This record gives sequence, structure tokens and C-alpha cells, in this order.
Amino acid sequence: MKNFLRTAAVLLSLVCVLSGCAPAFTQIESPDNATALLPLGEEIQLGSEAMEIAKNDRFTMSVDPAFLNIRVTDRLNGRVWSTNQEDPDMDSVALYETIDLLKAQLQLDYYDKNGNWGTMNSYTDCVANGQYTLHAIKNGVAVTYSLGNLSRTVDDVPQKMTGKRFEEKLLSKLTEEEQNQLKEYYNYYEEEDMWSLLKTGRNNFQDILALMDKAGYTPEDLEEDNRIFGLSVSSTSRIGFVVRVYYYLTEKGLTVEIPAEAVEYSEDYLPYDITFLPNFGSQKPSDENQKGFLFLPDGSGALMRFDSNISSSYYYEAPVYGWDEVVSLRSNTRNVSAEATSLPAFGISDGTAGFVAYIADGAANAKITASRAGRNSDQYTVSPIFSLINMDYVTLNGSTSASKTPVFQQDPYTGSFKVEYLILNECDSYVDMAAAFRGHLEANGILKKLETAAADIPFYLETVGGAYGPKSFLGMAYTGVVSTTSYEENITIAEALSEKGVKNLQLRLLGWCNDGYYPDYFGKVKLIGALGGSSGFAKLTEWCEQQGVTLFPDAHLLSGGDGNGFKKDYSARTLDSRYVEGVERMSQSLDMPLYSSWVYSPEHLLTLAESFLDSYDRFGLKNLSLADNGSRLYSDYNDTLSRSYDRAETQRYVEQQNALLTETMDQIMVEKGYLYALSGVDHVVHTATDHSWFLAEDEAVPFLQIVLHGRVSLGSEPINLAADYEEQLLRCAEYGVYPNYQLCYVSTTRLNETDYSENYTACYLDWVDTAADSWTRLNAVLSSVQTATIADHQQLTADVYCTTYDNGVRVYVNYGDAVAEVDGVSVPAYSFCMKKGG
Amino acid sequence: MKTKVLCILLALLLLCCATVSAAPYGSYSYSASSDGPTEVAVPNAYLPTDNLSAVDLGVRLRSPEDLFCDDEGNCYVVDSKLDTLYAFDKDWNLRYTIDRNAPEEARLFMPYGVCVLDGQLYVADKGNKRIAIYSAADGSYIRSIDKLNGAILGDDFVFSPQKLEVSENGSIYVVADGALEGIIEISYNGDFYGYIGSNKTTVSAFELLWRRIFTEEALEKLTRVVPIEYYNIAMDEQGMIYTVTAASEVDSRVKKLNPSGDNVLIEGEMKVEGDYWYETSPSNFVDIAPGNNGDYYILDSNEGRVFAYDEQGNLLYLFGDSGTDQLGSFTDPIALETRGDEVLVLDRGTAAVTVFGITDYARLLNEAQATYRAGEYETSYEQWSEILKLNGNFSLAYDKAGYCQYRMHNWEKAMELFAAGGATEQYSRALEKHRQELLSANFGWVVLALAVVVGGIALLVIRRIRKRAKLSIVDTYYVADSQEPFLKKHFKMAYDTMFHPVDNFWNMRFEKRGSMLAATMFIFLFFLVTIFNRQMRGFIFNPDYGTYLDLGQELRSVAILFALPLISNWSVTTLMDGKGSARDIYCVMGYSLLPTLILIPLVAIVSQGLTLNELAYVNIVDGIAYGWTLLLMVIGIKEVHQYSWLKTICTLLLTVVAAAIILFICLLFFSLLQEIMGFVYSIQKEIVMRL
Repeated sequence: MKNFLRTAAVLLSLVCVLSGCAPAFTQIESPDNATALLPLGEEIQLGSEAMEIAKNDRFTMSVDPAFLNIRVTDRLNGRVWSTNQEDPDMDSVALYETIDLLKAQLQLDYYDKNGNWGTMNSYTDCVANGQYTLHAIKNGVAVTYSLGNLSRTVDDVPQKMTGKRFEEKLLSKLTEEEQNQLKEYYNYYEEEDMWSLLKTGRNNFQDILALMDKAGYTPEDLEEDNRIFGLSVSSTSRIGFVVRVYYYLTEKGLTVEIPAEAVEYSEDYLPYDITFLPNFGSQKPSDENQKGFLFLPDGSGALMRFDSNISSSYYYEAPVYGWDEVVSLRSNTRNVSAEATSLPAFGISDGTAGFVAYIADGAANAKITASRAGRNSDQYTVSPIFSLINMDYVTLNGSTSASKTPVFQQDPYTGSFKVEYLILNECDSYVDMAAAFRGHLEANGILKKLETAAADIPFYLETVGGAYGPKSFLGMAYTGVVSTTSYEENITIAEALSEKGVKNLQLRLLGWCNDGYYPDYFGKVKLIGALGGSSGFAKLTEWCEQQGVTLFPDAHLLSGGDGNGFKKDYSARTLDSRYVEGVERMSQSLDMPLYSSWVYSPEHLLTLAESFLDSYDRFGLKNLSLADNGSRLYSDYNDTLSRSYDRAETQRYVEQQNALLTETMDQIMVEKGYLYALSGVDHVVHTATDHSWFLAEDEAVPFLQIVLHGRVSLGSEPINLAADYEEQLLRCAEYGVYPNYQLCYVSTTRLNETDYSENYTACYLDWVDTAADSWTRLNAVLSSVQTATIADHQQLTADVYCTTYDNGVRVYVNYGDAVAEVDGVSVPAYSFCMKKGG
Repeated sequence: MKTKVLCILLALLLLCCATVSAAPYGSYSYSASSDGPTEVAVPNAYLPTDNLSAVDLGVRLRSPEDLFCDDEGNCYVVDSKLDTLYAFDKDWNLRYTIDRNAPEEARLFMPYGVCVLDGQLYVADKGNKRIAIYSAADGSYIRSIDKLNGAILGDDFVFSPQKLEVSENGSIYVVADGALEGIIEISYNGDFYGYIGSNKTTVSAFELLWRRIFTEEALEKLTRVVPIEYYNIAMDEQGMIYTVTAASEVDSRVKKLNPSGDNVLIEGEMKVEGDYWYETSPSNFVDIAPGNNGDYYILDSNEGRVFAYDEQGNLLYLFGDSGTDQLGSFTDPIALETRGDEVLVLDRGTAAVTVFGITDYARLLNEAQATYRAGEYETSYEQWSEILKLNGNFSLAYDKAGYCQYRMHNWEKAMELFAAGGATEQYSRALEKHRQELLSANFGWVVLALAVVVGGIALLVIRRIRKRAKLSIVDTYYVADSQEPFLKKHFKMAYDTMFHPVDNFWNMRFEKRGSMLAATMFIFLFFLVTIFNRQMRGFIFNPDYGTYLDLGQELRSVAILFALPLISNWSVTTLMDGKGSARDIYCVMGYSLLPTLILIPLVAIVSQGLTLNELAYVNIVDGIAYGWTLLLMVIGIKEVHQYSWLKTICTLLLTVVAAAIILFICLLFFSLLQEIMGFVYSIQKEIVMRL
């Protein structure tokens, strides 16, 4: 019944939209965080012509009634940015239905309760039928799209009725003529005392509907009749959604927002995701925009250039902030080796002007997709896809058969989806986009420029303390924590490096406590006896303090092993109530995890951090490295908790945990550096310096570095583990990233006898010379730009790249095998150099 | 270090301008371990540098079937759906096309294979049932081989060539559709020489049984056992023919045939079979290409991977992946070619060629192999050590470095490396040399030590004989003095049991001399000895060498080893008028263990210095130890139950049956329990999900 009422409410509101009765929308609850949302003003009636709606110092917004195309004109250069291409019907690629998609502002995918997929778009299922209303808001317009077919069908006609009810509900209220007409469509079976719909009735259901209306037959009556005969009641529920989108101008461009809570749906059809403004600013390649490109946030950043002849069959689609381990492991095993997306940004440039979009809210639930011209349309497009209600299948196994049942996320996302399109009147390169993006983040207080830096660039050293492996005692072997770099051996490695001239060492300790690499639960910190116990650790901390080496013990506060006080209740769960397998290491041949960990529920994160800090306090250390906080984001659908958490919710809890840690600690180091985790963070290691080599992409660009350089200190992926370490060094110079090595004291063979065999070249003796040399070379070019901002990045020749900093320093990197002469500088083959001033 | 600098310099000289840093696929390989091949992380050997789609190549492609690179680096692609051959130069510029617009005699129809030798281009023109020959320079038609001249072929033979290779001496080797007898070897004129290297099918014992039992009709329904056709063929500079077969039920999927058709492929312990672990089906080999130093590359179409093996059949590295959207991943890879340091893969699914470039690591590996083959062991050792620095997970490098050391007569270093690489045989050889050297260096001491040992033993024996002569004949066995300390008493008793089992076991049973505690002690000692033996036995004789020890697991197996026979023997003998109680059987088991307790640790220690040549001795002593113990137990059982020999043997057989029944019931119980738990779990899950 509740189900029905809700459906009825949606239906009612849909009907009200049709009849243009505004009060219906008082039913839409405003979301909790409505502070950001602007109050609705008067309803706007569109004429047949495009209508100007809002205007600020720089931009003008207008709405075209043809398919609610919203245009933003940048009066600085007269360029018009539009949510849809101007003439979809003339598109040379799209046909029939796909043309409708080009006219849509959003596309909504949904599942019914049985897991059947369906899709609707704002043109075919809404605007084309006029099922929308516009309200003025400050600087813009709020559009309410009512998606769905509102006309009644044969399903709204009773299939069977008892003789009594037929008489009572219909015949008694109709004239004799009408009664005869109705009887033509139904046949009476005396034995069962039942009226049953005939085929003629099916074909003339419109007539029956008219008669029903006349007789005052209500949907409740229909449900009752269906119930009596045990007919499927689902036919009474109708597919329909109401989505309201706020479009408004800001000083920098256009902001578009969908409050997720204001998305209305019936319980039988659940919205899965929304592809949002799929065609905003789309570009048709032509002679004028040959220099145009799409910017994608894949790894360090990647470009899709308009002038390359890559096949349009390849496209790009990747989630922001990596894959969700809770959902993706079974249903999405692809791209385990792809780089993650750290910045929720994307952009389009036509070679002279462009925009960069920032997903300000709901990024954790978003994917970014991009297509080359020729795939869906003759245009280059990039857009976000927001996930509303996650879905997965549970397999129920019987003795002989198995069935799949869909399960849905219990509590939908309650925040909003907000994309800020920063429109750039001059944008011929991703550098402009990155600069605008950086400026925007700084203005919002998300990033802060570094004021001071040490004389030398940091050298990041990760040492692997210990891991589980074979050990022996009195000739008897057993399994235990094997010391691969004892606390004091760290000093030996550090000294070996400083002997070779390395300064400003940042020592990150992996596997230093709680049973080593792949550690136990971090509720309390237990030093490892085999590594030298507390006296050894004290010696190390003391030595580091004396020598000015910054020590970053690594803590796992989002995931880890069991033991050390771990309880299963702490773990996050999947949609089908399984505990989450946090993948620590993936088997390449089997497509399954070789090592997995428990992933902690968001509800548990603060408790864990507090209890960890209590225990960590005894070392008197003020620095901390976080293994997961900047590189892992997941949801938790544990139905024993008070609510479920999608990734955007989890993000809030991770941010809280980070806030607690950054408050307590002096310096914090994270991996990868997802944007939300950067506040208060001083060091980001394992920074992406490449893209994922998607065939759809042309090349990697240092977008991430242009945004972050001079804001946080960036360390590379371990250079000794790079596919080509010489090349990785050049990348570091080009991207302004500091060197990072992952080493241990014992031989690699010894390390590989332990559980942690992923590092195939770890022995410090093999790497000390190379590592020190690479630091010295990088220090020579990067030491003077540590607090500077990257002002430009260019490819000068096929092999030579130049990075310009705002303090006038230029770093030239030559990937070629011959000396290159550029800008009056001679760059040695396969090397780099720098030039000051000018 | 000098070598390293040299290598880097060399690498710099050879480096193309490809900019690569992170790989689009995780890099792994396999390393041998006691649980079979294990996946290990390794550095990337090849990285994709380019993806050449039809658009990039400026041609139309629908179903490209084969790719061939000639000696100059020119590449040829045939497309079976477009009936076209494209010839590219080494920079992938189109040179000429043979398509449907060609003169009628030159026109192709469903070409599947292409090959170039001495300026002539051979195409397996399957649809036209011929081999078409063109000039490789400009694609002008020369002639074709339509019909095979050979008496034995029979009238219904249809020549439908699929893939082909041409040898220097003019023979053409053809993989043809329906030619189950093997590869067809024909002359340039089309004379049929014969079939070579037929694929044998393996028939399992079960299948043979079915074939005996089933009726004709039922057999009809079974798949017929016929040889399986080769899928692809390649030829190296020595004229060796490499073949791959896609099906997994043939005897070997990869073959290296000499010109007379014998398979000369060398395989180690880890077979040449692609992925050792897989999700659904084993690697499906579709093409093979020879590389440098006798290496060869095989293409797996299931997972889109290229496997590289050396001449000895050792897996060197592997690369590539399945997928559609990343560079270096394939949907339906069909052809593989090597061109200098490049590896080219043709993907039929995406109609594109992917170029893989070599990394410094693989380049170093090639050099190390070359110097190794050339016998420059010192240089090679340096290179292999450098490889080990870059990849500590590479057992082959340990073996090769060890072999270099062996050749340099550094036996101990060689042994160390062989042990790290798990090379038992080589270790044994190095140990032998090392032992020889030690022996000849310390000959005097060895002789002295031997003399002392032999003398000592002789002395003991003489003393014992004298002592025994003094004792009376009636009381030959040991009678414990109740005053003696526990340990001494029971060890003496067990020792005496070794030589006088009948009397001692009789005493144990009827004079109550045996002690449960002592028996437990012996069993515990046996447990310790098992572990000692597992851990200390020489590398060559120990399959568990260097593996993790699970004490719980060992304890469990010892417990089962004793509990199972105890329970089953007791249950059988109780029914069969046995006089012994469970306690007696337990004592028999415990006291019989002494031979094992003494001999096995000795063997374990001595085996450290033995080589494979002395394997027989080790086995003999092992046999004596266990045999003796077993014999004592049988005699003990007979005595405590007071059985005749016949009855003893009968009850022992029944004991085995009883043990089997107990095991069966346990297994049944556990599997039922598992079923029930699974049932409860799925019910619970269903309730949770449906409500």
C-alpha cells in the first residue's frame, strides 16, 4: 500500500506538472544542505524564441525552448557555451533515437526491482512532451524535468472483475448506452461470476478509460480488482522520475547542480545513474579547432587531441578516485592496472577558448566519460556520470540451480551533484585549464601555496621493515615476521645515502609495526621484536632527530589485516552482505586478489584513529604517513548499521579522520593524493606521472603536477620499480616530482621469501649509487622551484619538453638519443638541464 | 659496475624515442616452487609503443588473419574478408595492395597466411585452394600451386592451405585445413613430399574403458579421437619448424620440429604451456615466432599474452593483456611476428597491429643469454648478476649465474646460486665437484677421521660380542630393573626390542613392562625427527626444502598417522579374539620407532654432503629405517594379540580396510556438514535478501 501511495504521489505530481499547477512542487522536500541551493523564484513561461534568463558582469545565460538548450555567452570573446550542440538533427553520425540523446541535458538509467535495466533522457521522455517547468533563481534558472510517459495504457484497465464489483463500480454509474458499450468489451463467465476483458476491449482501451473516468473508477479500485484475481500489481506502477537541475552563473562561468535528494522516483524503478550534460561544450572537429582537445583526469592527466586520427571506437570512461572495491571487484575487474583519477576535473578546449569543469560535490560517486567525434555524434564530448543508487546481484545457490537477485543501496546519496564549469576566454593548452583549476581550489581554500622550503629537494625513501616469512629457531623452522630492514638498519641505509651526498631525507617506514608489511589492525601500535623492539626504534628516532631526517611511520587506518584487536564488525560490507575484500595485490593470471585486507566501515574510522593516536603518542613522533587515506575510497552497504554509506558519504568520514590526524600531527604524508584528502597534507608520494595508456587518449600531461606543485611536496612512484627507471627519472624532472625509492636492507631474495614479494628489486646495496645520483641530478634542477608554480609546460620538439616555473626557471628534458639544442640551451641526450631567468 | 655503465650506454645507443614509464598491465612471471609454478612480480620486459589501426595504416581491414615481416623489415598483412593483401615498408607506408581489382589469376579469395622468401611472396589462398606466388618487390603475379602431385593423396583430397612457411632449400611447409596427418611438405613445383610431425592425441584410461563398454551407437556420440590440426607454423634461421596447436588435448601444444619431423623441443619441469594458472581455460596458442638466441615467442589468444621462452623451454617473460581500451591489450590476437627488437601482434578483433618495444631489462637479458651461449662466462655472470639485481624473483637467472660460476670452477658460489634457483641436478653436480676438491685438499684428515670412526665402531662391536658371550643363553633379552631411571630403562628396553622383538613385546603385554608414557615419548620424538628430517635433509633429497613449516599441520599428520592404525587395529582385533588392549597396541607402536629415530636423523645429516649419484644409498637407509620399524610393529601386533602369522596378516589387511572405512566416514561426515552449513548459509542469505 505504501508502495502504491508513493507511486501515486509521483504520478500525481507528474500530472500536476502537465497541467502546469505549480503548488505540486511544494511536495519536493528541499535537501538538508539546502544552504547552497537558491530559493525558487517565479515560474518562467518560455515563448517560441530563446529567452535571456540571467546576466552577470561577464556572462549571459539564455534558454532555447526547442529542447531546453541552455546557452552561456562569454561576453569577453563572444563565445557561446551551450549544453547541447546547436543543430543535432544535422549531425552526421547520430541517427533516430541517438539524435534525441544529443538534444538531452541528462540521461537517466534505472533498474526495476527485478534488475532489468532501462533508460530515459530529458528530451524524449520529458521536453519533447513539454513535461517541464522553469523557475527563476538568482543568476539562473531551475529546470524541473519530469521524465516518463504519463499517458495511461491498457494496464490501467481492469482485466477481470467480479460480477458484483463490475455492477457496483462501473455499470451502476453509467447510462444504459454506456453500459452496453462497456459490455461489448467484457465477457461474463457465469460459473466464476467474472467479467473478463476481451481482445476488442484491449484494442479499445481508450474508450474503457473514458467510461471508467465517467464512473469514477479509481486506481485504488483497480488495485483491489487486481488483488482479487491475483494479477500482477506491478502494472499499476509507472516508470517516472522528477529531476530538478539548477543552472546559475558565477563570476567564473556556469554552475550546475542536481540535489540528489530532490530526485523523485517510485520504489519500483530505482534511478541508477545520471549522465549529466553529456554534450556541454561539445566540439565538432573542423579547420578552426584543429588545436582543440579534451582534457581527462586520467593519472597525471591525459589529452584527446582533435587532430589525431585515433579510431573513434575507443572511448574513455573511468571513475573519479579509483574503482570502488566494494562494488567493482566482481562486476568490474577491468583496468586493474589503470591509473586512478585524483582530481575531479575535465575540460574541453577548441584551441583558443575552453572550459575546465570541477566536480565540486558528489565527485566520489562520479565517473567521467569522453568520446571522440564519430562515436555517438560528430562531436568530441566529455561529461560526468553520477551514480545515485548502486546495484549489484546476489547469486543464490540451490542444490541444482542458481538465481540472481538484484540488491540495491538502501540509503541513497543525500548530498548534491555539482559541477562548476570554469569558462576560460583564453585556453590553448591544458596549462590554462590547470591554472584556472588551481586558482579555483585556492580561492575555495582547498589548496594553499607553500611559503618556504628546504634548500634541497626531499629524497623519499620507503623501507620495508618486516613481513611474514620463514624463520628458524634452533634449527626448527616456523613462520613469523622476518626482519627485512630492522629499525637500526634504516640508519645504515640512510647513512649510505647521505655519504653519497643525499640531503633532506624523508624516511617512510613500511611494515614497521603490527606484524610488518600487510599489517594487522592499527588500533594499537606494537613494535616488532625481530626488528629491534622499542630500544631499536628509540635509537632510530633519536638518530633521525639528530640528523634532521624526517621519519614517517606508515599507518593503515582504512584497511588492514585481522589480529591485534580487530573485530569483524569493523569491516565494511558489500551490497550482498559479504565482507569486503580490499585488494592489496592482484594476481595477474587469475584475476583475483593474492592478498586482501579488511576494509573498515566509515563508522569505525574516527574510533580507530583516536585509539591509534593514543598508542602512537608514546613514541613522541609528530609525523605520520597514511597508507590509504589519500588513495582508497569505498562504500559500505552493511545493512546491520543504521544506514549505508556510498563513497561520497565515506569521503566525509575519511576527511574527518584526516582532520583529526592533521590536527594532532605536524606533517602528514599520503599516497596518490585524491583531492579531498589533500587538506593539511604536506607530502604526497606515489604521485601519478603517466596516464593509463587508454587507446582513446593521445598523451599524458602533467595537469596534476601543474595544479599541485608548490602546494604540496610531490614524490614519485618508487623509481626502482618503474617499468624503466631511467625514463622515470626524466619524468620526475619534467613533472617537477621528487624521487622516491622503495628499498630494504636484506637481499631481494630474502625479501621475496616473505609475503611481500611484489618488490622484485629491493636491496639497498644495488640501488644506493643510482638513487643518490638521481637525487643529485634532480636536486640540481628542482631545488630552486620547490615553492614555485608551474607556469607553462610545452613540448618543444618530438623528444624535448620544457617546464617553466613562475620564478623564471626552465627545466628542459630530452627523451631523445641525441643532444638537443633548444632556446640556446644544449640538453644532453636522455637527460635534463635547467635555465634560470629569461 | 662497469658492466652496468656499459649496458646503460648500450641501451642509450639503441633506445628509440618511445616515451614510456608506467605499464598498462601488471607484469608477472612464474617461478617454480614446491606447490608448482607460482606467480611472481617481475620487471616489464616489453612495453607497447604503438597501436597501428587501419586508420593509421591508411587501409581498410575487416578480418586480418596473418602478419609477416621479411628480412628487410617490410610487413605484409592478409585480410580474409576483404580478400586483400597489403604490403607495407618497414615504416608502415603502404607499398602495394593485391585486392579484388587485381587481374583474375592474381586475385585472392580468403587468404589466411603469408610468407616471404628470396623476393617471392607466398600466400595461402584458402578460398582458391592454392598457394599463390607473387614478386615481393611489387606484388606482380608469378605463378601458383593449385594441385599437389602425389600418388598417396587420394582423389578426395582437397588442398586448402591455411598457413605456410618456405625453407631455404625450397620446400614449402603448409598447415592445411583438414590435413590431420600433419604438416604438408611440398616442393616448389607442388610435388607432395609427405606429412611431417603428426599431432598425437592422448586418450585417457577412462576413455579406453568406455570404448570397451559402450555400444557402437554410444561411441558415435562420443567425440571421435582424431589427430588435431596444427594452428600455426613458423621457421627459424636454422630451418627448424615451430608449430602451435590451439586445442589443449594434444600431447604438446608447442613443437619444434627438425626437418625430418621429430619434435626436438626441450622442456624443463615447468612445461611450455603458457599460463599455469587460469580462470576458465588454458592458454590458447595461435601463433609462434622465433627470436634471438634460440628464444621463441608464443601468442595466447585467451588472455592476449605473449610468452617468451628460451631454448631450454624456460619462461623468460610475458607481456600483453586482454581488453579493448588500453594500449597493449587485445580482443582477438591472431598473429605474432618479431622484427629486430620489436614484437608485433596483430589483433583480428580490433583490426590493429600493436608494436611492443624492448626494455633495458629484457635487452640485458638478451645480452646475458648471448654471452652465455658464446661461453663468455665471466661477462655473462656479471650480466646475470645485474639481472638479479633488477629482478630478485628470476630463478632462471640464479641457475644461469650459478652455471657461469660452475664453469668458472667456483663450486661453493655455484651451489649457493643453484640452491637459490632451485636447480637440484646442477646443485648435485656442483656439490660433487666441491666435495672432490675438499677431499683432495684434506685427504690426510679425511683418512684419519674415517680410520677413527671405523676403529670406534669395530671396538664397540667387539666389546658387545664379548659381553654377550658372558651372558647366559636363556636371558638374552633385557630385563628392566625397576630401580633404573625412567628414561634409561625405557630406552634400553626399546633398544633391546630392536633385536629381540618377540620376547620384549611378550613381556610388555603379559608382564606389564611397557609404559604408555614412554610410548608417548617415542611418538613425540618421532614427531621431532620428522621435522628435523624435513628441515635438515640435504637440498637435493628434500622436496620441502626451504618451504614454510606449519607445525600444526605436521603435528596433525603425525597424530593421524598413529591414531588411525591404533583405532582400526584395536577395533578389528577386539572382534577377532585379540589378547591385546589398545594400550598394548599403543606401546607396540611407540617402542617400535627406535630404528627410525636413530637412522633418519643420521641420513638427514649425512645427506647434506651427498650428491644425486648416492641417491640409492639414501633410499636404502631410509628403507631400512622404516622397514625395520614396520617389521617390529607387525611382530609386536602378533605377540600382543597372540595370533598365528596367518591371522596376523589377515587382521592387518582388515585393519587397512577398517582404516579406509573410518577415513571414508570422516570425509562423508565433513562433506555432509559442509553441505548443511552451505544450505543454512544460503537459506539465511535468501531470507535476508528476499525479505
